[in-house]
This record gives sequence, structure tokens and C-alpha cells, in this order.
Amino acid sequence: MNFFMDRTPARIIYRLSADQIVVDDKLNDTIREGLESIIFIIGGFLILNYVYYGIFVIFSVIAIVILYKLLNFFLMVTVPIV
Amino acid sequence: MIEYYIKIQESMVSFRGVGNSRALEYFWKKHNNYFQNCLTHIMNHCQRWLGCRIALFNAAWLFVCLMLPFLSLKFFPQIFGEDKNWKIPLGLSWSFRVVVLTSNFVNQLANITNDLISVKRLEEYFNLDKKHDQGKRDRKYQRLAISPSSNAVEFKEVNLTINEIPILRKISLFVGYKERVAFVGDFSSGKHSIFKMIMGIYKADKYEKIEIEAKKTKKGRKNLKTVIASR
Repeated sequence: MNFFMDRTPARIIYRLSADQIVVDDKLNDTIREGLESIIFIIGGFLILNYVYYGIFVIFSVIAIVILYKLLNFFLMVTVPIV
Repeated sequence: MIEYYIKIQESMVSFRGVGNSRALEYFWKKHNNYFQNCLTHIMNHCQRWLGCRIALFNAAWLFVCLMLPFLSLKFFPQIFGEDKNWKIPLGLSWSFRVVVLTSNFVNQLANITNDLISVKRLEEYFNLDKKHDQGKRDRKYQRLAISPSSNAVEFKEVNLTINEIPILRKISLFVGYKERVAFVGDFSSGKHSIFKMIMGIYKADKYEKIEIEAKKTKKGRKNLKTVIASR
């Protein structure tokens, strides 16, 4: 059996290091991609509001709220460590 | 790259007169690395192009969606030209685009939630309590009728002898709730015996006061057992 899966402290350290890599490298990019796509969606909703006489106002408001929350989270994640 | 090219040319010159399959085989074996390098080079280029492809596709689609009403007016004036109703193609194109983008966004949200699991695990591991968890903890103490400032483990002038050998003499120890304590000392100085006394494996001979809050509840006793099991 692999050493990193055999003993409990080793397993904890192995999992912990994997999590740390996710938080340091991966999470930043995933949130950025989400922000990009939601900005495009809001643009689309604005145009659809113009075309369909403001039916999509509710959806656009929901999208803006999601954008605000994601943006806050993105800023929280990308704060430099002092 | 240039070195490899020269080597191949030399080998081609040397095997020009032979002209059989064995020569080709030898050639392949000799310069296998070169072909592999070429392949990796091409693959890297392809990967970079694929990375750009999504952004390019997105930009092209945006351009088409913006230009579609004008194009439709120009090329299909019989359909859209009479009423100048250019909102129909614009609405159709953008609704389709928004649907695709939302599906993409849902996938990305799934990725984010997947990553957040590791964040939660790290928080649990490092005991990174948030501000709003303070009230929750206080309520827990209220339910158990224990104040957080009181001691979880309390020893006062405890003596321990095993097989008529004195091991601990007049020891007093106070450990609070959620407090982390390290036992540091020399070899066979009695760290482990204190630990076992808290568990209840060893019993003290003379003592003024011994109080262990964890033993009063069923859950606490269970937790102590798990600590023994992990040793």
C-alpha cells in the first residue's frame, strides 16, 4: 500500500496539501471564469430587456446580485497575505 | 534543432546506397528522440491554439450577435425590411446566447463549489472559527450549563504510585475548555502517566481534588475512548 494512504497522519497531511494547492492556485481561476461568464450574461439580459420591453429585469437583478457576491468572494480570495 | 538536422542529413547520406527497410529502421531508432521532440513541439502549439480557440469563438459569436440585425436587413429585406423590425433577429440571437452562457455558468459554479469543499476542510483543520460561530459556541455552553471560563480538567496535589514505586508527587493541573496543552519533559518524567490518569486507567492514591468534566457526560467519555484508540 502507498505510504500516504497507509498511516493516518500521513493521510491527513496528504489531503491537507492537496487542499492547500486548490486554495492557492485553482480557486482563483475558477471564480474568475465564473465572473467572466456572468458579466456576459448580464450584458445579454440588458439587450433582451431592450428587445422584450423589460421582461428580463428580474433575471438581470438576480444575475447582478450573484455577480456582487462572487466579486466579494474573489476579492476575499485574492487578498495578499501580510 | 540544428544539430538534429545535421545528424539526420549525415545518416541519410550514409544509408543512401543501401536502400532497404533495415536502414529505415536503424534511422528511426537512432533519431527517435528527434521525432518525439517534434511531436511534443507540435502538440504544445496545438494546445496553445486550443486555449485561444474558446476566447476567439466567444468574440466571433458576440460580433455575429451584434451584427445579425444589420445583416438581416441587408440580405433579407423582404422579410425584415418592410416593417424595419430588426428586434426579432437580435432577440433570438441573444436569447440563444444567454441560454448557452447560463449553462456554462452553472458548470463553473459546480467547479467553485467543488473547490469550496477543500476550503471548508482547511477551516475545520486549523480551527478557523468565524465571528458568527462565537454565539453558537456560547449557546452550546449554556445548554450544558458550563461556563467557558471553568476548567475542563482540574488536579490538585495528586500523588500516584504503581507497584509501590512513587511516580507523581503533589501535582496540580488546570486545563480550560478549548485549550490546547502540550506535555513537555524528559524521558520517563511522568507525561504519559498523567495522560493515563486523565483517561482513568491509573488511579491516584492521595489527592485533594480531581475533576474531569468530560467524564460527566456520555459523549465526553466516548471522546476519551477515541483518544485512547488513536494512541
